[in-house]
Amino acid sequence: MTIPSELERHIDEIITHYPTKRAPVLWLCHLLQDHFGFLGQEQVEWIATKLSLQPINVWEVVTFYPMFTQKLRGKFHIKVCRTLSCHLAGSQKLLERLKDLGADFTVDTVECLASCGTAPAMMINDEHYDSMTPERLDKIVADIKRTGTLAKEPIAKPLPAHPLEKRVLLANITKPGYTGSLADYEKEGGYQALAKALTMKPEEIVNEVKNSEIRGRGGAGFPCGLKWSFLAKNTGKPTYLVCNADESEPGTFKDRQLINYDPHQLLEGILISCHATGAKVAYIYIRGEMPHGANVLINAIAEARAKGYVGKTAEIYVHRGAGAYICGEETGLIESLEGKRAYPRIKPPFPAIVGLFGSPTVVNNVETLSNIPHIVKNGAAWFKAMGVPGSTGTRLVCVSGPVKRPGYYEFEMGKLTMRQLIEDVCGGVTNGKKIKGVIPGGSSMPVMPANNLDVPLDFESLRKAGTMAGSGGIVVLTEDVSIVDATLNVSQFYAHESCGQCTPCREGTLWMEKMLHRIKDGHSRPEDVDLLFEVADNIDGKTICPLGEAAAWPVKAFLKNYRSEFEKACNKNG
Amino acid sequence: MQVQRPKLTFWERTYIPQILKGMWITIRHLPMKKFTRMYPEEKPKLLGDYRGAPTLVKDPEGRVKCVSCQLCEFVCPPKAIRITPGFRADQAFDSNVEKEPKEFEIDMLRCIYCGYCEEVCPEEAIFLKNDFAITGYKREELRFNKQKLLELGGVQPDSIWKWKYKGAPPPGTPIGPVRDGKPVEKKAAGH
Amino acid sequence: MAETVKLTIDGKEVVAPKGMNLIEAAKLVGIEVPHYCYHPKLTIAGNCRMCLVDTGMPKLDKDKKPELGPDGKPVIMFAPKLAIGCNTTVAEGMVVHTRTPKVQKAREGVMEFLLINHPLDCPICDQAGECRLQEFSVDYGKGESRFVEEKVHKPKQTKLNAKITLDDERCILCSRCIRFMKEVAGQDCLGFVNRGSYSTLTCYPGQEPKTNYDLNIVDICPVGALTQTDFRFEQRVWFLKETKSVCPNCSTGCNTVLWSREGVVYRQTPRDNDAVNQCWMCDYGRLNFKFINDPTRLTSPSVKSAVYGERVNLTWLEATRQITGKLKAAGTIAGIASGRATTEELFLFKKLVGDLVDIVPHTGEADGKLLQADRNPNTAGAKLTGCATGKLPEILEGIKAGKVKTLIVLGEDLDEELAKKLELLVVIDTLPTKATEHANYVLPGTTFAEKRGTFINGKNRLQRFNAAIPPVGIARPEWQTLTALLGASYAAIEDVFADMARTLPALAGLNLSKIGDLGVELKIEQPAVQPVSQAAEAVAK
Repeated sequence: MTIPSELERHIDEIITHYPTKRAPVLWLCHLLQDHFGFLGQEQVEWIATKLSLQPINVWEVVTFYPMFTQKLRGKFHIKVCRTLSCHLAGSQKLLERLKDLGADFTVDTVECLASCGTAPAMMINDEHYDSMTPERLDKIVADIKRTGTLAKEPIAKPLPAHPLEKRVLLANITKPGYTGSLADYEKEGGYQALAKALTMKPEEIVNEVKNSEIRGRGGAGFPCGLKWSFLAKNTGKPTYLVCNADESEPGTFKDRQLINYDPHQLLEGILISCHATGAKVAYIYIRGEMPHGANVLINAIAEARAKGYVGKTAEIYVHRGAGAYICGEETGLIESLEGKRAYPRIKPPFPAIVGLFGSPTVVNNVETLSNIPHIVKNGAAWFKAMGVPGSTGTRLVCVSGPVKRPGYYEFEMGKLTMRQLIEDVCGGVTNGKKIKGVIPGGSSMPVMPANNLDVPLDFESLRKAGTMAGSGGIVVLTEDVSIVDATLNVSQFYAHESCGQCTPCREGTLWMEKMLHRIKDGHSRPEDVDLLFEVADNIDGKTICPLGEAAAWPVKAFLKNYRSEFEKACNKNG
Repeated sequence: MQVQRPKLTFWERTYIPQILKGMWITIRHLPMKKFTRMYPEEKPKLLGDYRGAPTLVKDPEGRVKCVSCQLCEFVCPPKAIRITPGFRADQAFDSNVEKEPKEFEIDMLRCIYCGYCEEVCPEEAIFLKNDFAITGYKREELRFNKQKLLELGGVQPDSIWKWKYKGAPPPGTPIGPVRDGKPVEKKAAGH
Repeated sequence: MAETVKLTIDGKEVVAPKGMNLIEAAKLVGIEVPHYCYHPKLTIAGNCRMCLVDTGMPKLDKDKKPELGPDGKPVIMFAPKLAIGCNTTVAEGMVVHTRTPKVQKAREGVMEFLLINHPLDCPICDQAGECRLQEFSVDYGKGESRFVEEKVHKPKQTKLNAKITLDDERCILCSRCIRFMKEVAGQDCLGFVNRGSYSTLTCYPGQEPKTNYDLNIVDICPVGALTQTDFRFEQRVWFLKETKSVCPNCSTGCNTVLWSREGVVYRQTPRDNDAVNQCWMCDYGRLNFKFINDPTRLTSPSVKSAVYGERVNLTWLEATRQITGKLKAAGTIAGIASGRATTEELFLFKKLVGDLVDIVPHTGEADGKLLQADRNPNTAGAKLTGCATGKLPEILEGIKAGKVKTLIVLGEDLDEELAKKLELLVVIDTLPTKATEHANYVLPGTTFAEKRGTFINGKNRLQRFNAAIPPVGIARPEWQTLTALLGASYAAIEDVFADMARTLPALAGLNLSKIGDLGVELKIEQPAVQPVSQAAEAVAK
């Protein structure tokens, strides 16, 4: 097994991005799999020798991430998304068309591809396809079979603004002809905030962000400035900033747009944040299923480096993930960046004290960091003036489901209720059915029943309504959706994505999935409804990381609000 | 006080009437229905859960059910059981169960037929069956080894086969415990 | 004096050293917090979630002083979620509850989750009787199963290496073995593959555990996933008697437990002793006990009969009478003692033989952790009692030259040529050797499992060990044999020790019960170092 010298040079360059020998494991696995098509014993041992690791360390990582394979796949790897929005939009029909294609094709289902507004979504090798229909799929497969190659799929155009939106982050891409290049970004006034920030002291920037009261946009909603102020100082260790671009929460697809269309906004945010937190190195952890996004970022960084932005005050490196939702959890992400299995860490100690490579680290979401240049340029007061107290500024929400205009929108927080969003902005439901429920913040958040939709979309109001704003992924469920089916689909997602470290989540998620299979297939008993609730309750609050809660809350909420459906399914055969 | 002796008649003094009366009581029984069992030619009819000698059983597929967990050895009050655990030959069916007794000896001279071994066995492999007349000329004959116990036990016709499937059972296999092909109602366990 | 912290656990006040975690703090007041993945000598993993407890801290007012409630006691704010005890350090004023319904429900829940994919292997699993899953499910579990799905299936009965068998279905993924191999044994070879409920413990093919400490992972595995291959299906642990002992295979003297039943030793495991071996033991010592039940053990005193040309058994009385008579008539008596003999035996041997005595050195390679290069467990004891004089080459020369005609050998072998040259050779040993073949008198001794005694380890620690099984045949502990040969009147080994304590200043004031189970460090004035040469060892073989 020989590695071509060009590849080896690339590998050596990547190894310099990290201070430890173990961290480049994921990159090396990606590069070797792209070259050989699989990661067998030889490849694993080569990586282990190259990085002075034990073969078991590399093998652990290869088997943890579903994007890596130990056996050769077909030349064309078709990955169909099977999670909630795509499932409800008909991904099953796509799978039925993909039978018996021949040895050149490998067909797999994957979990949420973060493109829910244009469901059903799928990927073939590195190309991403939206709004698939069985007919379109047939044509694509026929084209591949005829030409033997895969045509490049163009990236979708950005959505135009809705009158009720207030676009700050999406302001640039709304302008016609905006390409996201450095020249375009600077034409719109880009990198001026960076220049201003470099004249300010780090504490001043932190205070500005604190005063703006911006809350994290990744799902937890923790005040960003407060998180920055927790960083341990004078430890003698370098500080790291990590950008969490591992958007995998089902229903969410906003970070994809920010990365694809306006990468320099994110880079400027990262550079300013590095200056504020004292970080000299920043990593962008982008999920493996966004290879186009990774390339966009790498090119943008090269552009910014040429202009002297990146590399002067801080370095930015792109790190590709390989298909694990748990890498969206901050300590899971840190473990994955360090080249290990993405097992979240027990807290304390918190990442702000002991984080990446044992050093103080701050992990922020793409959207949060993209807001920073605007806060620095226009001031905290301007930001606070938008939104409502407790939920300042604007945020991107993603709407999927059978509505007239699904997609991403940017609003001031709290200025719209859920009903207004669905009816007025998205045009209401298409299939003429009534709304059964709405999931407000990605599948991890409890569902809101149809009689409770007049809740303003800000953190506090949603919390009072018994759910959470989460990552802003709104999924609309109409009357024709079987709640048992939806719960099963969501449970399968969590069972597949559980890392397996702690007992309740590891065993409980698979147990819930198996129970829901039985309930759906008609082999259940009346007591299974209470048992399902109790199992979910036993997972809730007992786990290391919030994936336990994320798995338990949807099941509990669906059971609480639609119990009669479950009882009917169980009593049919009890 | 003075005890009066009964005055006997002449015939009574010869004791012949009394003898004849006694003989009549006995001879009266000759034509009556006899309840004597001609043991050992006629064996008694034993009821279903008669507690006789302990035996080891095989399951309907011919596998020795005992896995030499040694719980019966531990619980036996007079310590009559002596087990040497061993490995099971790796046949395709058995490769899930790894253990089998190499030697299994019950000293019938010590056994008190209490039935604790049957009660404690987690594999339902030892049953007290119908032998009650255990005899022999030497002490060694009354120490039953594994072969003798399996002979006495025979085959147990039960349908809960715990070790049957090494991997997933074939689709359509009913979930939960099954007895005689029908699902068993789960009763609440008493603590 | 380390700083301490006051906290309350289940209503009991505890004074704990700063930095201690809640599991250890609860142990101080006799409260058990169940746990699987926590081990005091390994890093914290926190993944089993069994040690969840309810913790609360006093509410602080503006001046950072505890706010007092209506009853005068500080108001306690309990954390909204249960915290794991192994990762929570004690803090001043903390209040911990381990018995509330919330904690009990959490424990039942975690226990249920651990059991749903666990195979129904209890009747065939070796860990039955010492399995923490069994124990905690009885103490803290629900008592009934509600799981009616198909369990997850993983490889069973796989060989991790020749010494250890791995059953992946029983593994509860606590990662103790992975942490041990990486942190203590030094070979990072174990890991988890696959994800979620299908996570499986494995080692990379070709990179099996190859250290001298592999079998410790069998000890720390809380369930029957990792089992010792040569103990597999041997015996149930509830039949085995535990005897506290000391390993006699090198001068570390790791504290062990011998597990035996009816005169057969089945296995050895380490005992906790922070001063010697923490809680670990090397495989070299652990597996070296099969010789105890070897069928060729010497069972009776015997004499080489000149008349019959073969060995004839004698009674102890007759053998002792003959030997003492011959020893009185002999000239210079030399003695070869063993560094494997107990201190009491060496004390008596020295009395019997006098000046011309030495022990035979046994060395090997030290592994930098527990196994020392000196493979004699009692070299320090020999030095203390005066049996390690360094005169071994002199003795052997003397035999070759014919100057030494009488030799008593205690537990060592002797060259055939030298044995044939002697007029009177008395050998006290356990297994047949060349020396016993050519000896005039052979007196059967006992192994370390069959007698009581003490060893002094390489760090001058006096440790005692106990008898686990009775001697084989009519063999006797060597101290009894030597007492008879001396014509002394020690009735019990305590009397020998008492005499020793009177004579040797380092042992002053001690007796066998004062030593305790963990031993006592002695202050020994080391005499000028007597080098034990390699040449002597080569000749003595």
